[in-house]
Amino acid sequence: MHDWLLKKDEYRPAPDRIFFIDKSMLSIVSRISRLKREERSSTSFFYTLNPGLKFLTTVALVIVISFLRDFSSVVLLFSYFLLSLALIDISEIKKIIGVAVFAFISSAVILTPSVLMGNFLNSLIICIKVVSTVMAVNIFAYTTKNQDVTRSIKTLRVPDILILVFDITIKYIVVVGDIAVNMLNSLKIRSIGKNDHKVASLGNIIGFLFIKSKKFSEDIYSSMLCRGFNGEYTVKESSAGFGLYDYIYIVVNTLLIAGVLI
Amino acid sequence: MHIPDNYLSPSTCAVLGAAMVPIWVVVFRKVKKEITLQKLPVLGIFSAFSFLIMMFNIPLPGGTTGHAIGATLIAVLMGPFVACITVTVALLIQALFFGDGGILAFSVNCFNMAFLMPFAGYYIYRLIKNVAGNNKAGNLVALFLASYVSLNIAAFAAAIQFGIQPILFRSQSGLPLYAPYPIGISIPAMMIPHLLVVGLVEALVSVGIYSYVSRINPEMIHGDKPSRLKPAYAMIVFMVILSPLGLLASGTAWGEWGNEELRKMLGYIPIGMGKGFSFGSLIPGYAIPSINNEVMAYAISAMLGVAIIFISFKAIALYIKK
Repeated sequence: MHDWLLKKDEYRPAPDRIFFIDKSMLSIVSRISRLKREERSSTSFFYTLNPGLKFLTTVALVIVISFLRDFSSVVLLFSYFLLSLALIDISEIKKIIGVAVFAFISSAVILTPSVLMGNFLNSLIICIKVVSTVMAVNIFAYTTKNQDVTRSIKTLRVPDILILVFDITIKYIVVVGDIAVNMLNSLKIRSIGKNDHKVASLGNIIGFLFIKSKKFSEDIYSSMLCRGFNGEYTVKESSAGFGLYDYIYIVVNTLLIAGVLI
Repeated sequence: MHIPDNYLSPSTCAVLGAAMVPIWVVVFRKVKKEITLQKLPVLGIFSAFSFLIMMFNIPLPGGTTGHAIGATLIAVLMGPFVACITVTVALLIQALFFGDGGILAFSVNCFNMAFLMPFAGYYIYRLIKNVAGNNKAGNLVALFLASYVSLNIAAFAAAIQFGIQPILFRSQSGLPLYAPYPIGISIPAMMIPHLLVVGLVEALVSVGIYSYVSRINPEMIHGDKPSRLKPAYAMIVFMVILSPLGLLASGTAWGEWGNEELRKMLGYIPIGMGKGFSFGSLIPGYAIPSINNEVMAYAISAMLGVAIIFISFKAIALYIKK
């Protein structure tokens, strides 16, 4: 028997950089899972509001807060958003607080030099405004069904055909994203030892996604044609009318906006 | 480069929103004509693709990662008009579903990333390609430069949008209400990372994807179809004509103020600028000595700048042809 057969094999692959693959997968998966989430059944306050009304109110509050210059009104609106946050499900509160804390820290870092130069109060106001806006938008996004989010932009007189484009985009982010995750996964598990060509493969993966998207678009076009699509598409405004909660919401927000503006 | 709400004043957002609305209308009409109404929904799939490009991280030195925006690449693959719509949809989904980039600042983000970047990128690509000829190396160099330059144009626009805030919007005590850093700080703060790192990431990602698609399925690339180039020249001329507006926007040319003016405007001199450094550029402050009319001097500087860019592109193209 040859000597080398009896020797213990000392194979240690050089450490390989796969961090960027994991990070890409994580960012795609987290977005997809957000868009794929099940329709919620929660019946608490924010989830049952009329989506168009909720959207317009959120936009109005974002505009109002960006005009405010006085510290106490900004804090008042911030407390209102915090109270709104308290009314939604705890699993979502956790996620929104995570986003808000991140927004606060990054704003604070950006504004630190300005604070050191003596501009403390206005910097603090900007930080609170940024956090408030992030909370407002996320409360809207988390408590509204996907299709209602796209439908709510109809209140801004966006053409129906564009809303159809949004709907398809959201569905296909999930479909194309799934393919991307699978390819990233195979790139990760099929590289044995150190593979320096991984980064170059990333270009191929995205290039393949483009070709795949082109194929999908031809397929979807043919299938829509087969089902009689002639370029017209009408989006119904949300079927739900205004309920008791909607009226309460209108009154509270009108009072709030009037209060901070006067 | 996704600007969140409250760093820009509501009036800045409104102005750029007013600029974006006619752009969207024109672009939408043009796309509708190009691909017919029935085919319009397929834009959704390309919007999904635009959205996903931004999710891919590529490794950077020092163990961090960065991602591309892909607007120039999409403009070259599918045409600048389609790119404008798909990037707009991708940005809207990011703002509405994920809170990336503000709701009010949405128009500003669209102006930078869905208008400036794909259109500038596409026409720079076409310009270089026209002089370099239709060969593989020429295409890749054209795309590389177009992606790099257009990303930096978008970053520069964002830097100016940030930088004009403290001049225009101050509290009664003279302190800035929104983004507090004037142009003298916001431009280097935005441009240094974009020129050194982010632009290269954008360019490398574009070239990687383009070379794959052109290898596997070359007929899918829109930017390779011959087309008239007049809009590119028109846009550049338009920008040269518009450039004196830079003077109107702020008292001094592009806000390159002396420290005294800064003290008046901000109520303090930012530490870095008190001592700071000043480098003597060819045409200091865009004012040419012995030309007294500021607007005239400004327009001349703009034209000289464009001329220098053109000549360098042609020189590069000549080098590639050889």
